[in-house]
Amino acid sequence: MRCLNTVLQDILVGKKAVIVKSRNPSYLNLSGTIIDETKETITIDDGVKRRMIIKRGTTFHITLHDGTVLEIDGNMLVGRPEDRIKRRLRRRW
Amino acid sequence: MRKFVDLHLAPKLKDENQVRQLIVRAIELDYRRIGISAPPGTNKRYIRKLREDADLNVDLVSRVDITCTTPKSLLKALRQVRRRFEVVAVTCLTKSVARQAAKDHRVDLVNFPYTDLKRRFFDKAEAELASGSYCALELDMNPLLTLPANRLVPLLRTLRQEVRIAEKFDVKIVLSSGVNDVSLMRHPYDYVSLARLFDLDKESALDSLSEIPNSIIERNRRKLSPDYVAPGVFVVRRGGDG
Repeated sequence: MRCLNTVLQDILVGKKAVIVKSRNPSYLNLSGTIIDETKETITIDDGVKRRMIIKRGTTFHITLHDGTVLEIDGNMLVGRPEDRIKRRLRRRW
Repeated sequence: MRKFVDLHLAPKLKDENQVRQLIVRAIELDYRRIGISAPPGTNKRYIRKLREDADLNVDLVSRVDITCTTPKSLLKALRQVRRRFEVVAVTCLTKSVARQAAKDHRVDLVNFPYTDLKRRFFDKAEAELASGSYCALELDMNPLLTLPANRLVPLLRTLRQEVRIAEKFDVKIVLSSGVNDVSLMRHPYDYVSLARLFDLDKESALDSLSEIPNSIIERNRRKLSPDYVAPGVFVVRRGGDG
């Protein structure tokens, strides 16, 4: 079974995402494919429009390639993708 | 409608009759969730047995009370108990333990001795550390009912200061009974009235008896569930090759 502990170090581009919680109510239930990622934002293409979503204060449901759906707090995703790869999971609680 | 919680019932666990009496009385007093305090070495099977024996109208919460004198022993105890109990409370006897407990994310509640006011280390530094983690300040109401007047007055003064500091730094306060005797248990609204003695207003006191402890329990139960992966990461649906 895939080790889910490393999901926060994973590359998000190409994965499907659904926004389930957000400070901006217009982003709620927005779903699409992640096409770009920066330190503080994620760009989602919902098939109609590309939207740049701020990671902080947002909760995503991200679908991995094996079909597993994870609920991830956006605060844990803050950071450049190349820096997140280096991040080690120190806290387990 | 509020779901009242008493997170700190401290019966002698070997006296099953006393435990049962406390649970029955808590139900009569409108508590929907109660936390039975257990020492760190308590068997998980005992907690499960307690849940099975208890009345179905109440939700039993497993709670552990850690009492340490050094931060090192606290960290060791936390490593052992965190994934076994739903609520972890630390009784801080020294300043270093208080500081460590406040900044550790694994601690849910901090409380301090009520008989020795010099050992109540909840100051601005402590509150600032507690506000950064999810630590809440627990205040037992039992001493307000049992202490003599000459010790009660300075305690109330200290509690007033602590409540003021907690509100300033946005540290949550949890009100509990802390009783081991059925006769000392009170209705939640009685505790709300008592809380006015240390300047905790009605709404805040009601939250301290319901919303705040409920949020602690829900948060920890979610973390103890098999769907928990890491801080901020939960499994919603498992994939095909899982």
